[in-house]
Order: sequence, then structure tokens, then C-alpha cells
Amino acid sequence: MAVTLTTAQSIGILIAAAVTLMMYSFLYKDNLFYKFGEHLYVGISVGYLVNIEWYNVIKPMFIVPFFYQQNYILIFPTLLGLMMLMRFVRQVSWLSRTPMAFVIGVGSGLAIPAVLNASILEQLYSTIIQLWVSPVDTASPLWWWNTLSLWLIFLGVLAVLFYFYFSIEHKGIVGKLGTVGIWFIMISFGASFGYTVMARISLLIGRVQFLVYQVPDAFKFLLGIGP
Amino acid sequence: MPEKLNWMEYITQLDRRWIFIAVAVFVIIPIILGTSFPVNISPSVQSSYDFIDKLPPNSTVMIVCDYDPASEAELYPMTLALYRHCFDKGHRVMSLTLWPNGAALIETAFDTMKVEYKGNPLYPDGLKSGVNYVNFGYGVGGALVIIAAGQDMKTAFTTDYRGNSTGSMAIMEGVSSLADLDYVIDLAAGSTIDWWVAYGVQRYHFTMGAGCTAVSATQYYPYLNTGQINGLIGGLKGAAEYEQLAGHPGRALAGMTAQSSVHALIIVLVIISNIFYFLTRKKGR
Repeated sequence: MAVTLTTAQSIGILIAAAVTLMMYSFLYKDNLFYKFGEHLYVGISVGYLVNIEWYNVIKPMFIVPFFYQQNYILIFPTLLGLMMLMRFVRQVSWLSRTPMAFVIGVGSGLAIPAVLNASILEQLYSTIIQLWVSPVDTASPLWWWNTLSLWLIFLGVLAVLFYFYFSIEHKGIVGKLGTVGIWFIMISFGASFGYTVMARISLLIGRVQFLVYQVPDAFKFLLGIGP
Repeated sequence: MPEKLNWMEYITQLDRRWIFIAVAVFVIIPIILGTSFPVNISPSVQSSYDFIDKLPPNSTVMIVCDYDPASEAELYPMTLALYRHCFDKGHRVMSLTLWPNGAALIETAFDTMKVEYKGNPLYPDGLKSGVNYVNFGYGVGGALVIIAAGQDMKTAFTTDYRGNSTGSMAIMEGVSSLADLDYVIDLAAGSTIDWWVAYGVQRYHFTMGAGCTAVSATQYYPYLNTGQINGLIGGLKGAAEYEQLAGHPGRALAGMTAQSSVHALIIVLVIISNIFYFLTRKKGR
């Protein structure tokens, strides 16, 4: 079921279409329309973000509780926040060190154990311990393929680690393992590049779909011949 | 007078704008023609789909939309596909975003769902905010929001996007922490999947899946391998797979023909460029 357009939405779609074309005009060469679109984008983004921060952070988290609910303890985090902004005033920029130290202290305390566990210990466990998929444990007839994949990951991790291990000269077996490591790195770069191409083309597809599907509907609505 | 280039040099120094035109043609024509082909389903998308599909009706699924309009092309179709699947199965859907510009996209997606599910026998009164779904809006504080929601959902999200109190909402019944959710899936354009795994899954032990832009998909496969996430929907291709599985073909599936056409073009261009590069280098020697 199609969503019915309103006049405001239709005008918005036409403006968005015009700005999209302005931005893509850069592909031909830098021009006035592109510059206009670029500046419009930056200005609107900043204005929108300030609005969001006001209505989601400053008003509900400080103005309302402090002035209307007498939650005066909020003066301390607010002062710390204001001290952070002193970074831009050279004479008193040292004031920003205290809130910065607070943020770094809390951030590190929260992040170090959590990230260490999630991104290193769990990965290590999975890489080293699970090297065998038993046909008994899995219903998949490709259990041997899964086992091979696990060994490939194990070999890849080992080889790449050797490539980045500089305390031993890269000769003999260490050199050979390092070379295998480069191959793994190259394959990973290739996969990342493939995915990046896909991502960028997806953005273009999104814009073209917008121009092909939504813009005609907006025109039809405004001309009174559509939904 | 400029020196006349031979054809081999001409090809290697071709104006890149010809390539832009070729890419544009390969994208625009399939979209105008409206051709779409079925896509192969990858195991990582299938596992997310199967998990949601097997949940009993009225389960609570949290779909986190950590993206903004810049990544809308890839992640919005994914969001719609997941919403449709959840509402088809009669699940309750909660959404929030850790990105300031994401809340309005969630609201638009729910508005689309309200129109689509009007008159659906599963929802005789239509989809209702606070009953069938809730948009918590923008969660301020990044990873701290995840920790706060793990401790107490109602304190972390006191109001929804429209400013309604969440405390008395029917959808919040039986949900006091992230651990009470039946499934969480983070659709991310940045690094928030790392946060949800580190501060969410590790602490509160809920089942999680992920969706991401194609550019960051390789970064998250290790989480899939360890079982920290049970499924991964990568980019427009992943969204198209999910649309196909859920039986709701949409924008992602419609874009896959264009995607495949441009990939074929790029492969051909890479091969041709390398051939000419080696030929000119050989000639230079």
C-alpha cells in the first residue's frame, strides 16, 4: 500500500531531487551549483544537529530537571561540560583538563575490560580452541569444510602475527610465514575493496531509485494528476 | 601542438568522466526497466531470519537503527524488511538509535508500516505505538545508553520519540532490561555493533544479530565466527536477501540488478586497465 504524499512532502522531494543533481554535477567539474549544494548541506546539518541536541540533551537533561524539578546536583556535570568548552579560550584552556581527565578515566574504566573481552579474548578462544567441527555435533554434511575454514583462520592469524613480529629477522620459516601473512592481508584488502565498491554503488542506487520512483509521484501530486 | 597519443596511450589516459557515465547508465537502465532477479541467500542472513521466524508470537524484538540519511540507501530497506518480518510474525518491535539523525528515519519507517498493515487480520485496529511498537528515539550517551538499558529499560528510555511516557506502555510489559528482550539486532553505519557486543551481549547475555553497510561487513565477520552475534546482514545485498526471505520484495531487491550490472562493468574495467597497464609498461621498456 503506497504512502499518500502531502504538499509539503512533495515540495521536499523536489528540493531533495534538485540538491541531489547539484551534488552529482561535481562529477563533471566543480561548479557553482555544487558549491551551493555543499554549503546548504553543511549549514542545514549543523542547524539540525543543534536542534536535536537542544531537544534531546540540554532541555530534558538540564533545563527541565534543574529549573523545574529542583535537581540541583546537575550543576556539577553541567559545569564540567562548560569547562570542556574552555578549550577554545586560550587564557583559561587549562580548565578543560579536569573534565577531559574525567571522561578519559570513566571511558577507559568502562572500555578496557569490555573491549578486551569482546574483541580479543573471545576471538582468541574461538581461533585457538575451536579447530575441529565434529560430524556428530553438526547437522551439516559440510563439517569437514567448516573444520578446514577454522584451520585456515588459525593459520591466517598466525601468519599475519608473524608478519608484524619485528623482533626476529624475517628469514627461513619466519620469513615464509610472513610471506603467507602478506597473502592473507592482501586477500582481506581485496574483500574490503569489493565490499566498498558495493557500498558506494548502493548509495548511487539509492539516489537513482529516489529520482526514478519518488520524484514523478511528487510531480504528479503537485500537478493534481496523482495520488 | 600537443603530441598525438596512440590508441593504447589514449585508453590508459581516458577521461574518468566516461567511466562515470558508464556507471550511471549501468545503474539507471536496470532501475527504469524494473528488472529484478532472485538472490542467493547467505548463511549469515538466513540465521538471523530463522531466529526471528522461530520466535513465538508476541516476542519482543529490538531493532536498533544506528544510522543517518547518509547510509539510508543500504540500511533503510533492511529496517523495513525486518519490521515487516516481525509484524508478520506478530512480534512487538522496539527501536532506538544512538545516532542523532536516526530517530526521524525510524518514525518514517513505522509510519510506513502503519499504512501497510492497515486492515491486516493480525492487527484489526492497525499498528499502535506503545502496543505493537515503540520508537525510543535518540539515545544520548553512546555506549552508556546500552549499559543503562541493561540495568533498567524504563529509566534509560523514560519517554518515546513523541514524548509519551514509556512506563505505562503495554509493550513494556515483562521488559525491564535488555536481558528480557528475545532478540536485538543492530543496523549500524558506524562502529556501534562493537559497543552492543562489548557493553550489551557480554554483560546482559541476550541474543544479538547485526546488519551493517557493506563497507564495514568484513569488520564484523569475526563476531559471527565466535557466536557473539548469530547473524549478519551485510549491505544492500544482505537487505535484498532478507526481503526475499521475508516475502516482501522491496527497494533492495529492486536495486540488485543494477548492483550486479555495475559489478560486471567494474570487473571488465579492472581487467582492461590491467591489460593496458602491462602492455604500455612492456612497450616502455
